[in-house]
Amino acid sequence: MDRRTMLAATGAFLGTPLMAAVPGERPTRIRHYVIATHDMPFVCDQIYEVLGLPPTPRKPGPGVTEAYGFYSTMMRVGTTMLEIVQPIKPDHHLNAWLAERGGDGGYMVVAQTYDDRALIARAGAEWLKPSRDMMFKGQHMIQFDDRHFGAFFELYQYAPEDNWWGDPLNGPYGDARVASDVIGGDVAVADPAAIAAQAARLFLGEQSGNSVRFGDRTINFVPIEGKAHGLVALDLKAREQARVGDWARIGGVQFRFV
Amino acid sequence: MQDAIKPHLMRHVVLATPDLDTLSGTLQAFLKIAPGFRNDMGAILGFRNEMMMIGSTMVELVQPVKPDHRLNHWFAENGGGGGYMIVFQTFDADAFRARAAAEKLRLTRDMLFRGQDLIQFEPARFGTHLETYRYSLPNGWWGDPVGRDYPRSGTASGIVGADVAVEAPPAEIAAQVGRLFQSPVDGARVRLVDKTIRFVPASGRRGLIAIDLTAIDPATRGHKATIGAVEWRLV
Repeated sequence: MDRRTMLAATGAFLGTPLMAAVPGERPTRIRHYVIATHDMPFVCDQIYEVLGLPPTPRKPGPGVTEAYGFYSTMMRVGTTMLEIVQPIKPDHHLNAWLAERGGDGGYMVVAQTYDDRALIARAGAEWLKPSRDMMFKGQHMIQFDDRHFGAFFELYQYAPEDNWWGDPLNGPYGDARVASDVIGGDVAVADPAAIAAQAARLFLGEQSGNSVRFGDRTINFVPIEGKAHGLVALDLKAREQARVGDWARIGGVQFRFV
Repeated sequence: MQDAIKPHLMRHVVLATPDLDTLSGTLQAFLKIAPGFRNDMGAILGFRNEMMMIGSTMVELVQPVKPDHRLNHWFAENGGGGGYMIVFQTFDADAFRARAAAEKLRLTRDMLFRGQDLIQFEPARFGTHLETYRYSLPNGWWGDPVGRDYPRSGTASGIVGADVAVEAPPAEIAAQVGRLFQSPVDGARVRLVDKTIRFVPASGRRGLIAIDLTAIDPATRGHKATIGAVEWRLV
């Protein structure tokens, strides 16, 4: 056990608030968002149109994720990826998630950690067991359950650090004409204040009320309305001032222009 | 109750074309009207348009300028340009959304666009794109029919109707449109205050296929011309 792990474990054991970060430790960086739907082309077409985004070309043959039981389309808005997923088989867990939620919605927030061991230690200190702790395409994936954080929060330690399996740097992605980037979003949870505080400790964010800032992105934890827990809104930086304040509801997520 | 007090209006029609200049020129000749207002929104929205006004109804001609714009796919499906959309005005967007949900209709647009509620339906159901706005101004919108000095047509004083070809039974579609827009239905016709939309069986082509205009010169009643794959009829 190194010094950082020991500090986190001690804090949890004593029931005292944990330090959000060891000095010099880099905050988590939000890299992409996942929307789940029963009709991926329908959702993708709306996003392409509303954001003025050239459709991502499909490679011939089965997609990578089809082996895992779902279709996936990746698209890029500025430095942020959006992934739209659709289950293929009736017994895929996405179907249960869609049924429970009552339709399409924001499924996951994906982020980059720069120290996977420290993240695991902080999770232990919070008495949180990752729902996944595995290597995926050579990169360490650590996932936290949506029942706790509203949406799945999935973190990777990427290698190389500035690119990853979605290939945002070199992939076949166009630029959105309407928005320059995704700068945050809303996640609906049962107890926004408690989850915001814990997310700030666990993912090394800067808490302000029920919002947590991770570098240049902010996640707001908001109360659940109806059955719509999870990622319920995304904030996009509008290229035109005239579009600030506009929004579009796509795939159960409100795309807000800010 | 606001819906009951203010009936839905048919505000404008949209024709899509790969060649805005040619379509505009042909339409100007038929309508005896000066060019409308051009807007180049290619950088942000990927298309350019021309707005004209016939009476109180707008006619919008749109041309995609980006290769990835969805209108290019629509041209491929449609076999070229044609009548693309009918745009309405609602006065209670939330009530409208609730009616759409009750009809189990999916929305292809559900958004605030330039500050105004915009709701659009899948063309697969209604033949053409049906889109409605709740405008933030009581009697004006981004086309600015009130503030701008639009040229007047020497041929027609207004638009009074349209034909939409559908694949489902026309009376069934008309009934549903009547429920959505809270407008009276007579068979396959829906009356929107001063305009009538007729749903007709699609025979090879679906969508907005004809527009009825009130002739200024009674002697021209019955004249018609096919422009932009839409039949323009003087009545």
